[in-house]
Amino acid sequence: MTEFIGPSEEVSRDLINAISGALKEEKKSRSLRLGRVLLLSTLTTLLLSCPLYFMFREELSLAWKLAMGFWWLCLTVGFYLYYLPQPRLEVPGYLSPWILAKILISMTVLTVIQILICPSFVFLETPFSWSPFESLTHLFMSWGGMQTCMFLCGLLMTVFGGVLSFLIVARTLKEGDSRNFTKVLAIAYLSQAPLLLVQILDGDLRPYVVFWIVGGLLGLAMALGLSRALTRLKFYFQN
Amino acid sequence: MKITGEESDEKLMNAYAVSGDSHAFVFLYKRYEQRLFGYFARRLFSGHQAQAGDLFQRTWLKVHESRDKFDPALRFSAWIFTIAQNLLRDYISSGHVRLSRQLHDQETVGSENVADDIEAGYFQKLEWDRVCSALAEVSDLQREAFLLSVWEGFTSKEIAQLLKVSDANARQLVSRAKSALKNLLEEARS
Repeated sequence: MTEFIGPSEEVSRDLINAISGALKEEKKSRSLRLGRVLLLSTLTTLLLSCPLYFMFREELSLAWKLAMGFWWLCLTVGFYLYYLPQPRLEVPGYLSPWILAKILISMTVLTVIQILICPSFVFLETPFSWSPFESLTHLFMSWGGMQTCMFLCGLLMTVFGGVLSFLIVARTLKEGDSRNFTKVLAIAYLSQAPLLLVQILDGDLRPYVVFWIVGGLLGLAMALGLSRALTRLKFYFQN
Repeated sequence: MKITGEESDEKLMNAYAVSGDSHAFVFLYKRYEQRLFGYFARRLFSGHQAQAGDLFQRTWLKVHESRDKFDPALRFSAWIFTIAQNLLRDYISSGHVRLSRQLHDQETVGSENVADDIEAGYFQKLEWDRVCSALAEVSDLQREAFLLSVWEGFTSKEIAQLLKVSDANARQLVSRAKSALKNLLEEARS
């Protein structure tokens, strides 16, 4: 009697479906795909930028306009990678454009939402007084003024973004795969780049930008350490 | 051209790579599913069988990504196992696993054998343990050549392509591995 050595039925089915699906996608029109990408990225940018536009109106500075343009670019690249014909499979060590797209899209959306609810960026001096983060900001301000608030803002945004990115790529990370995760984080934080531009060009925020950067760097180190610990834990239980 | 499944590996690969024929891919997959999975499963410790599955999947994903680079002059079997070998090498060099020195073969030592005939199973297991210990004694290149020849059923030309040695050298490696194993097994029995 010989025992069957082979992959599980589930693995075979997923692999065959993923590759057959990619072959089918390749046969579809490229221009149609590009049209869908542009439509989706433009609609998402408009949807996310609407609150910004209505809050600032004529005060909408060049920095904010550039930021919106950058987010549109991030979303276009993100949707392009997402709809690129490819096997949609999550396998450790296989960092596909599909996974990178998920990170870029979700991080861009997260960044804009974070800005919208942060009193220092958008909700300050706007007709809307309610913000779930307002009490948090007051707390930060009471601890050490604007410097502490900006430092903790940078830290929280980076840690939150890092954890979200880790959750998206967790299944595709190999044990000790810090190089791939660093690549993931670089893509994830790309969408936060316009925040720096906004802070540098805004006269009120400019003196505190260095605190935001220091907080962000600390957050990056914490996100990397946390992800490494979680990856080790995952493989410890797997083996 | 209608794919029937009777075609050679290279013809199937051509239909898959050039025309994007998914049936050709499925036929190829079914042909190599067991051999490829076994290649990884036999070379990794039993505690790393999940990784064998991951490497198996990554090999097929790599085949899909690089299908345009397939050279029809080469044999498909040699090409896919070169990809598998490179992935395995990267995985091992990452330092998280050692190549199995307890090559467990479920094809020969199945639990049902032991249940059917405990005594025969015991001696089979004992013999198998001796083979594994002997395999651990020969050089890495000889072991690989021997496994590719005996388990995977590769010809010396294919082994030469995979191990990047000459045809004569591949034959020599297999032959030396066999005689070394024979000596080691005789020593162990005596």
